[in-house]
Amino acid sequence: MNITVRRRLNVAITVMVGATLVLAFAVYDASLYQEPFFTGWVLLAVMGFLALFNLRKKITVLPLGSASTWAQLHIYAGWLVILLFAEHIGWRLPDGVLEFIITVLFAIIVVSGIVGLMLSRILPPRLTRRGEEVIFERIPAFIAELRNEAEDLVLESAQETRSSTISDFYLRHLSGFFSGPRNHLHHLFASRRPEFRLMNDIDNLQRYLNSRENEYADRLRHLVNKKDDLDFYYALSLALKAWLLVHVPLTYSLLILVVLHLVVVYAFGGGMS
Amino acid sequence: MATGVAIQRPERWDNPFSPDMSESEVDKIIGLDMFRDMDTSKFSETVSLRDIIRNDTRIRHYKKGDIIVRTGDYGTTAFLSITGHVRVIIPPSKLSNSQLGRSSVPKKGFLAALGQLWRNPKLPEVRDPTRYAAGRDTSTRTGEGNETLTFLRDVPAILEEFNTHRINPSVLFGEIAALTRAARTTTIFAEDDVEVVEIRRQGIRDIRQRVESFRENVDRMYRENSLKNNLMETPLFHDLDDGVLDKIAAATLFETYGDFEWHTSYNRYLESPHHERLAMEPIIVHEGDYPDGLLILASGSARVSYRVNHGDKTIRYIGTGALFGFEEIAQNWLEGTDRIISMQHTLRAVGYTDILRVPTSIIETYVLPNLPKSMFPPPAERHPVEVSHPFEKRRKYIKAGAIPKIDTETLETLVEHRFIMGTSTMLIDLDRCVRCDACVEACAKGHNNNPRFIRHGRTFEHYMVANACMHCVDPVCMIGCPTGAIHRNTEGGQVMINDDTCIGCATCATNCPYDNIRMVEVRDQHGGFIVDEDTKKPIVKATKCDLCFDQPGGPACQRACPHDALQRFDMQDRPTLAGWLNR
Amino acid sequence: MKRLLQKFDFRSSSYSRPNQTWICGRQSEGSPCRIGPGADGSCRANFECQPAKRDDRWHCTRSDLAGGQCRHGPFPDGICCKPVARCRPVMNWRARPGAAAWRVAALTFGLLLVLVAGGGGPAFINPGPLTSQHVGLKDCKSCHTAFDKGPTAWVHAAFAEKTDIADSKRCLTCHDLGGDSFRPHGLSPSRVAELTRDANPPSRGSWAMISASAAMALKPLKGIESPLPCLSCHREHHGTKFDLTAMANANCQFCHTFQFPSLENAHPEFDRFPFKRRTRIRFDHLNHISKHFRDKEMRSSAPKACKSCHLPDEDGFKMSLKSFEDNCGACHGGQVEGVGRATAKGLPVFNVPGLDVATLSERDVAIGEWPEDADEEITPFMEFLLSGDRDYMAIRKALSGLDLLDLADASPEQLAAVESFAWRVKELIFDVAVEGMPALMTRLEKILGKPLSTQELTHLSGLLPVDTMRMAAHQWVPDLYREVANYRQGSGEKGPSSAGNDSGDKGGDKDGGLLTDEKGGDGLLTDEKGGDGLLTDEKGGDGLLTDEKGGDGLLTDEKGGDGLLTDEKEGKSAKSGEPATAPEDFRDEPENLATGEDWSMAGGWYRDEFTLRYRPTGHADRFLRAWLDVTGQAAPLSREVTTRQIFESLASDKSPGLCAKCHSIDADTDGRLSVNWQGARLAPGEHPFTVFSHTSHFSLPDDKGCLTCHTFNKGAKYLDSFKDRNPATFASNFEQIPRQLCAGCHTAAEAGESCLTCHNYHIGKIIPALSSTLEMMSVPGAP
Repeated sequence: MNITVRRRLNVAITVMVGATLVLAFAVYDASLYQEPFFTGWVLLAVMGFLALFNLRKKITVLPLGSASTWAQLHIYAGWLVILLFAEHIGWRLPDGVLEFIITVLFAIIVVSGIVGLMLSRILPPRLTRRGEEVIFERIPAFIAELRNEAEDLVLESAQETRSSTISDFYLRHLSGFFSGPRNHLHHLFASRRPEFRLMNDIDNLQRYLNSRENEYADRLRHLVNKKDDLDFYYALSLALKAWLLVHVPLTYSLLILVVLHLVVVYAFGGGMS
Repeated sequence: MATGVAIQRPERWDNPFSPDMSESEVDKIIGLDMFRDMDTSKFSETVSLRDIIRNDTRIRHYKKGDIIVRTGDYGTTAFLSITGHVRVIIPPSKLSNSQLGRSSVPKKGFLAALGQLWRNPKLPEVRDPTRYAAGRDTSTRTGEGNETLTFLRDVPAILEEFNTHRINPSVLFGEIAALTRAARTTTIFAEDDVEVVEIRRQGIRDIRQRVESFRENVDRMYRENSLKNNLMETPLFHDLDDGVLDKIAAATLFETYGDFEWHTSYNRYLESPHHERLAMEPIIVHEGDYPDGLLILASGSARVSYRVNHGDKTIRYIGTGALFGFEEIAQNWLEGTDRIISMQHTLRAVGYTDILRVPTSIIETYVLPNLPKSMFPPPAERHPVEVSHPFEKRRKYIKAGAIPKIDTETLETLVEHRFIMGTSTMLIDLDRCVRCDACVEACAKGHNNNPRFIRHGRTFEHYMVANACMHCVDPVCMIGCPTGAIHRNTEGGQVMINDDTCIGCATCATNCPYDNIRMVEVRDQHGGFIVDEDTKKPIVKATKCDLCFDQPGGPACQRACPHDALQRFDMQDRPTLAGWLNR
Repeated sequence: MKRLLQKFDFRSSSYSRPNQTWICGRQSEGSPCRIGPGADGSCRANFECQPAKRDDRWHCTRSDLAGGQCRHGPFPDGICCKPVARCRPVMNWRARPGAAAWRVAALTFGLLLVLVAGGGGPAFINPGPLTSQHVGLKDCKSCHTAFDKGPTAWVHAAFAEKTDIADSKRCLTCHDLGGDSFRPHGLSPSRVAELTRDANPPSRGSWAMISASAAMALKPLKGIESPLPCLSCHREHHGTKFDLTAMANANCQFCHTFQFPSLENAHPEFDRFPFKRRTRIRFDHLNHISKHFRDKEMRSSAPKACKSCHLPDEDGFKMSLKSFEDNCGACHGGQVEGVGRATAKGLPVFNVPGLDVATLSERDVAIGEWPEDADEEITPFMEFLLSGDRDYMAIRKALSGLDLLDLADASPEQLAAVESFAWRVKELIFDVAVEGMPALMTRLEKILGKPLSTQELTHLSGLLPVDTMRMAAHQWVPDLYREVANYRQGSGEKGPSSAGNDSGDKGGDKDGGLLTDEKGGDGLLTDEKGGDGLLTDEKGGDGLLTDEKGGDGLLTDEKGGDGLLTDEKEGKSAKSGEPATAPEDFRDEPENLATGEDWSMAGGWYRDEFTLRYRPTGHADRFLRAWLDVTGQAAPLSREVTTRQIFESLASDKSPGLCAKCHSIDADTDGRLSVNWQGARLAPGEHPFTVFSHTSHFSLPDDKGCLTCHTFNKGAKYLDSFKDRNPATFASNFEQIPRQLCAGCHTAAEAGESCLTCHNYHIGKIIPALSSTLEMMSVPGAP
């Protein structure tokens, strides 16, 4: 199925489900039942389902529907859960400490989720459009490779041209740059300033180089570009992974607090059965 | 050794089939009655029968019970026995996987699949050494030139149990598979200790070209055994009765194009510039030729293109079973003789191609007159809007009718890299892929904590063809596996490697032009490398994607992708592919 | 062709394993070792190969994938020449979120434990501050039963039991709602059921429809029967300003089978609102305003506006009446006291009923002395008091239809009945005269079947003075004491003597002088001691005679007789003393000797011939009121006749006091009657279903004032509606309030149309429960 079609369809469904639930809540409230209990359980169910996504990812070997189906459900259930939560707390910040903490946690998780979603949709095309498609874990290795090349190049130039201009330049401007992934934020926000500055520096350098030295400079320039591509790739892939570092762990502590909340409201709010 | 006239050995024989063929052995072979009465004058100076024998044959010795030809294997050689008898097992009866020295792994149940989550070893490439020990003494032995042979333990029992047929000495066998690159259809084993001549494909081809009787003999065999089936498979001939089919079969010509061992030159091919690459692909039909016959691809695949300025623009590729030139023939027949149109496109063999050419006259007399209107193709155009064939079943992604175009760059890449050979090529949409490696992890979960592909590979557009086995239509990796450890799964047809019988010779890995087979050093449960008893070298095994053939849910990689960026494709199913590429 | 950093062939690129938690620390230098870290993240690196010894030489065994045999080969001692530098494996990025998750979870859990241990628990789980009304409740357990049982018990309470009612019960310690606290509106299920039956027109209204249909779906879960805990509507812990009693209309509509959108739209029409019954005080506004108030004499004292009689009570809801004195006294005060009354102003209480003495003496019916001139019927009060006696009802039955003043042709049985009737009367008078209040008390208690407090007796007896009673008794039957005494001993009595005559003569004075002298003689005689003896002798003679009749056993008898006689003497002398002296005072009566009636114009007891009368002491007379209440409320039993007689006599328009002229009388279902002493007003703690605050609407009326809403209903037959005693039948002086009048302002937009604006949810009598003072003694600092 065409992706945009699918998106429209899912949005429509989500909106419908949301509307139905809101109405159901209103009716339930009118019925003198404790509406928060109803909304609460629905909320818990949906949250549980959202949490299950992580589990589903782990047991890919089973034919439990494709992960992409789950991802879709996770995303749209995620939008829905915001509404449910708001309904549950009655669209006002809760007064209790526990409830407040839960709300804050929830907010962080939701926001991180949305951020993650945006990153997942925005960054991949950018990754594709620039540089070589490499394996994240191997980037340091490639950087090391480039560094070695660069250093050899510099040494060679020093010997061949009997001038330390390039090597000095390397030590001053490039050694740091080549020693590992750099400029994460610039790359994340698609700023090419660092690269541009280095290029400038090389340009300036080249004013004072003879033709032989210039060859080396050009080869060096090439390496810098390559390295910058790797940095770019590293930064973006890192962003694509890092957001989970917030989204997943906080979910766990949220669930723990929710269980406590559940016990409290039932023990002091009428009890179950 | 007597020195004869020193001639420059033709390039083709840079590497003879067997370096140590003694003249006496050559004599012995020529002495066989198959060659004895061949008219040597038919052979050219440069390529004499003797040369052929010397360079393209070798002598093998099999002990009683050794399996010479294993059903399902891909071989490039034919055999004939010098002394002793061999037995062919007549289909449908066939030996069990274990008898053939293949593992038969049952599909995992739900629980077993779930169990993998915690039963999988924590370390990579862990094996159970005891299994190898067991595997060794079952039914393999090391033959001459220390290759591993599978042999049948109890021959009388086999003869008892199976419907077999004796093949007498100096009767050629296994040649069809060799010529058409079809999988071996039967298993043939040594009834008693035998000495056989093994002739490689090139040899057979040359003899066939030159020796009338031999050609007729071989062709007859081919026509009888597989041609009719091939014809039957093309929808066009479905409803023809046997008589007609025979007539067509009789009139059909075989042609082969391209280099049979193309994979050896694959990388060289890729490095050469575009127009040279095209030049390396032999032309089957030239744009502008008179459509003298309907072409059926018996095997391999081909590129369809038309001339643009100084280059050729590829508009599609076709694979085994496809027709070419039917549009033109049909149109000419309809329009009548006054407005004859010529072939609109050029057809090139990609790698290696077998062609069946059915003369136009035959089509016009037997096929077109009583062909239902629905089966008539749209009028031939230079760059047609492609519609899914009336005799294709409906596809995913698109309805019957217009097939979305695959843009040229993509098409070119797929063809020239020969990705079109794949039946399960892994494509990753890099615009959706978040590089989370869920696919790799899923793969590892299904294979004892070992990934069986690498999420890197050649990229074009915003797609990556990852280094995962494509399960090619005719897998070059299978050529030359000494133990048949690499084989097609009898159920699903997936190409897979039997870890127990793999001897780590890396032939398959080297053969695979796509770098989709990896050699690994295996470890015991404690993570130590398993080493060879005497050499103490780590044991190495070939590994590759098996399409999760034993997992309940099918390929884990594509089910595990949360952003449906990853898909496996049968490249012959172009509409599906096109649909996905244009989703 | 652009240069690629990576190669794909199997020799240069082996599997990348993101599934492994740990990756070799030297991956970052691009040279990860082939061995790789252990599952626990430890470095397992040692050497690139383990050399093998073949024909006593060490061989390198490095695998071809790792580059095959190394150039130098192993050291002589068989150690690989290429040791692998150990590294610090790093965690795979893919594994980090999971690893972090467990840490965070553990951390959260730990913090919770610390919190509980540190006693911060309650503050932590407290879902929010209480409303200002409840700030006093510092301790969770004062509302939550489960609280002080500790966390484990919480879990149990949460999932294994139902605590809502138990918790709600704790609300009741302050908010007592009476028996059916947890029923809808505090009504019994049966009541709810019948109310539901009464009002169920078809539903309408959009929202209402939805909730109604949904209600149908949910009803099975929570029917009328199942209890409603307080927290169904009252949700606490929402901050000090939170409105605990707020309730959406939808909430009401949910249960109510009659669904409607709003007050102006389809709210049920008011049913004769605000009148549920006729006024308790019978006051015809139309009459008074149109006639009496315009009357010249009255005009001065007539009220000028509604507020001169009505004023809002302190909560401002009801308009209640001012006192009788303020409102009615000016004109009606006199009437109550009996001013300008033709008949007796006093109420006959005790009397000697008239009998046909002549016939009785002829027929020799032994009733002893009886005043011939008494001609009144026995008073209801006496009948009431007598009704307690064993056979009185039988006697009464026998006498029914008999004219006691003409017994000429009465049957012997009837005469027998008359005889015992006469004796009952005498006994009653005797008892009251002799014993006084105790006698009354015992009789009343016996009849009413309940002990009387002194106060009740005070009211019921009207504080009857001893002398009045004794004097009366003496005047009516001078020899009453002896007669009754003998009668009670069972000794016979002679026929009715003319004893009554004297008293009768004594009434008319004209020729009584001589007779009185004789009488006086008598008196003299009696004075003589000798005479005394003689008389006694005669008597003694009689005694002897009787003895003779009696026959043998003289001596003993004499003694016995003697004893007996002497007894008598003393007894007689003791009694006959008083009556002899009494007349002396009235020797010559002054001209202006007032009648008893006039004498006690402020009310009280007086004797009028053969009757003792009670004159009301003005408005709200205790005596009348007490008797109306007692007799009205007395269970309608066999004695009804008599009680009702009293009630009716007092309730009649003629009866002195004229109570029932203004105070309407309600008969309840089982026939008990109650006089409405008060005008309508809310009983303390009474919560009606519909409330209306007059004061808050005072600003609204135009110059028509109260009449803006309360318009007169000229045609109404107000007074007629009081003919029966059913309060439900009435015709008000005023038109009912039309719904539109309220709906004019009470819309969602303006004055609001929430159900709770006009209706109470909790209805009935709700007295705020005071904290029990049982522990008063134990309170520190208590005396």
